[in-house]
Amino acid sequence: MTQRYHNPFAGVDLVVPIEQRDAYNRYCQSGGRAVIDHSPFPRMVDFWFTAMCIAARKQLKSEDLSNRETFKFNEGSIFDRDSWRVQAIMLVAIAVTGSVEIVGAPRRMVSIANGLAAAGEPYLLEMLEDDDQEAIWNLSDAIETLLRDHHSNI
Amino acid sequence: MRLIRAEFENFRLLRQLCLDFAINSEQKLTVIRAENESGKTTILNALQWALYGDDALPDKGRDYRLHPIDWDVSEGNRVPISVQVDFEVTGLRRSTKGLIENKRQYRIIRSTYETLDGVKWERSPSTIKLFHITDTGSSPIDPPEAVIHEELPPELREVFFTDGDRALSFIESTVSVSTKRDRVQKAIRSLLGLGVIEDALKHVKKTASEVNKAAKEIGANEKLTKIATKLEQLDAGWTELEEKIEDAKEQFSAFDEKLADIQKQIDNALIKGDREKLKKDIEHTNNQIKQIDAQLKAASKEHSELFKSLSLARDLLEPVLEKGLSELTKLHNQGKIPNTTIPVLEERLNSTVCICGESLDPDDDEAMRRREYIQNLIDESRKADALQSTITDLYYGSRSLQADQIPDDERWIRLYAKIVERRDDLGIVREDLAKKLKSLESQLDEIPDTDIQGLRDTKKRYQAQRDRFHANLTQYQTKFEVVKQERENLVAKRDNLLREQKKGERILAELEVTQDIEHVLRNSYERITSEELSKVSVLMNDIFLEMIGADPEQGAIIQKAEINQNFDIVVYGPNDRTLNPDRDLNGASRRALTLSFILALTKVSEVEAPNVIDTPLGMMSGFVKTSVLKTAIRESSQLILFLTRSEITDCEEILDVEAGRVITLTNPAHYPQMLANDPGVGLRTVIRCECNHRQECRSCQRLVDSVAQMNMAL
Amino acid sequence: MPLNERKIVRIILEECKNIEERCTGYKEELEQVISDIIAAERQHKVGSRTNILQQISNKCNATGRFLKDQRRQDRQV
Repeated sequence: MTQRYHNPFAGVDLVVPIEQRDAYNRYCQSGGRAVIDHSPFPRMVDFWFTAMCIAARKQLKSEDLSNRETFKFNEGSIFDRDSWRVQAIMLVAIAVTGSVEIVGAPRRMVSIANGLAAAGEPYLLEMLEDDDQEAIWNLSDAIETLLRDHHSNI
Repeated sequence: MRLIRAEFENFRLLRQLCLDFAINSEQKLTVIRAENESGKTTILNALQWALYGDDALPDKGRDYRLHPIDWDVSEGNRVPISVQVDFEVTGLRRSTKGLIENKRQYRIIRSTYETLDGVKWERSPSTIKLFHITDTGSSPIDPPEAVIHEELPPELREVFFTDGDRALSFIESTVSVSTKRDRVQKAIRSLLGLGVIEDALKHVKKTASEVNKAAKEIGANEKLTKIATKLEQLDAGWTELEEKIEDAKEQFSAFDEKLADIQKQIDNALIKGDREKLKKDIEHTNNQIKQIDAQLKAASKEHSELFKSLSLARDLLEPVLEKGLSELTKLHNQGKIPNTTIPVLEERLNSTVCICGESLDPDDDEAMRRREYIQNLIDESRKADALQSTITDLYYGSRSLQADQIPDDERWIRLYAKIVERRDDLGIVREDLAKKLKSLESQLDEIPDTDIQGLRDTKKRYQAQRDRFHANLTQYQTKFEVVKQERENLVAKRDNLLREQKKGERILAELEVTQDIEHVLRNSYERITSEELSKVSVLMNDIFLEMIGADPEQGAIIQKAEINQNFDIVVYGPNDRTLNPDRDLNGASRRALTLSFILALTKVSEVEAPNVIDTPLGMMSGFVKTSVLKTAIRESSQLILFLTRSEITDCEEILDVEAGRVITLTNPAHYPQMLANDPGVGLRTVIRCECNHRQECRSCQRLVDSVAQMNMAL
Repeated sequence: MPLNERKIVRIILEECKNIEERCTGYKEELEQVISDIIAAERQHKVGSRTNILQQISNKCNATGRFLKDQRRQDRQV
């Protein structure tokens, strides 16, 4: 759904720790992967976003990436067409910081999101690789389990 | 004709053997009791060789050795071989008292030499001598074939000399329909004398033509000459027309048969599978698979879209978003959001009345104080700036992230479940199609590369040619009728003119005679082909059904057998369904059918000739065996059977009554495996003893079956 | 008379009975000539060196002569 709205994250970098780059390449179709069932995520930002959601759900601490080698895979302008992602990141930031004023600090919010994505990545990876099926089915089953357990913090 | 005796010299196993046959009409059965490899088939071949020469031997005698295989060359490398057959012929002589029978006895001797050279051998052309035997001596008859072929025409050889194992040549399917038809037709024509009548008709017609020519030459009457000339021309054309008709009939039949054959090929190929159709089905299935694969790919893509979907984020973040949303709600409840007061307040300032109903008229002091208050509010609000705006936008814009606002159907788990179902369903369809494709491909592999379309094209061609010959036939037959009518008219005119002329009297008389002879011969021919053939068919059916014990009223599988107008022997099942002798009849029934045909033909034709049959009762037991034996004895004028002990079992009582002669033949080489006693004969030969079907002697006594089997195993 | 000649002759004799009696004794004469023709054909078939056409022609001519002469006699009577 295209909406004209002000994207506060445009121009802000979306990054991942360098050691997680391979995972992004392997499980994202935009990395040149043709087999969808082996690479379930259409784009890297989808991987990143899902990792962030999982970390937020599991109440993981957002990692500090300021002193780590990272790889920029995109920037916030990617959210131009998806206002709900911006809103989700904002709401996550409010939940993490406990303060609504955080919405006035876009770079801070993205930093929180990057940190959460980095924290969530190992869990996401485990979901992708956990079972004997193709990645898409492993992930789907794991997410279904996670969603069914409303109180799951693991 | 009856066989009296036969003597064999050095004919394979038959080194020095003499057989005499029953000729008493009360007990006309001769039984030669012999086990397998005891010379039965050899005797059959030897008798036929004596009467018909090398043509009657297996493979017409090529590579068929006649001399005994263990011939001692110290006795000479030129082996004399001969077979002598004494037989009796009953003739009819016309006298004023009617037809009188007279019997004549003959002796035929066929001999040859085979010269041995190591393992090779060469046979000299056989010589044949025939003698008429009387009380006072014998006198040679030349040519011998005249009598032999008169009594036992070569085309009837298989009718009178029958190898039970091969007793199927009239019905076996390994030969073409036309060959079978030909054999049956030849046998019937020969036995019923049709060939002779046809020849006689042909010759008498020629005679009539000659007489007609003479009619032209008696002169004086121009009209008569013209008519006679015209008749001559018609007669010349007549024969040609008859030949064309015959030819067209034959060609029509041939193509009819070809059509039936090719239709069978098409039917067989279609049963196995139509290659072209299968290829089309495979192509269609491949297309379906492509479509399903595309759908699977789309479903897979849709599945992956779930991982960039709003519903995933919403459902995953549900516990997290609650916190954030509750903060926003707090602010909303505090009135701090939405930040929409400025436009409302500004709107109020443009009006003279407030929402609460108080005046905002600028001319009113109290109202002015209110207006200033509102303006202060506006100024304060403007100070809240972008943050407020952002928060407000967030509060209102994030409704789509609120899980409680969303129907169940849009939850990620439900969306995922739908995708799973679709992918599973498509997967099942894909698997089924893959199995179908594999099955079609393996069916295709199994089909021989029969070009069904090619066969169909050939069928069309045959049909066209058959129809062409049919059209020709109809045309010729029509022309024939026209010519016949014209001829009849001209003959009537000619005969009238001849009557008027004195000179014509004799010619007219001759013409009338030839006319009458033709008439008699033609009627006789038609009677024989319709009535007599029908009699053969009916009798064959009666004998056959009697032999196999089938009662049509009981609905037995075999209902009827007949010879149709095309000289085909046909067997019918229930509801007039045609049965295939090879497939639908067992071995016993097939033999019984052939024997029935032979016996019926012989009976109806009133031919007196022997039936010499090797192992007629093989593959038969119980009712059928005794039934076949009794029927054959009854219907034959002289019956000579080669029977094994197994065939004789259960028939002893019949033989007690019916057999005028029983001889036993034994092969000494069967000792010690099957014979009880050492015959003391080193040569490969056949020993004869006078034991009948119930007796045994030292020479012919056999081991009981179980012991014999044990010996064979050892 | 060998083989099935008995049968053929019997049928022929029966058919002869249906022929018009053109003169006295004609049917008998016809029976005889046809039997002779059949016998001659058989001989010819088994290789006897005869001019069959000539034989048959002679027999037909002889019977023709018989018919002519007998007719005359019958007319005079």
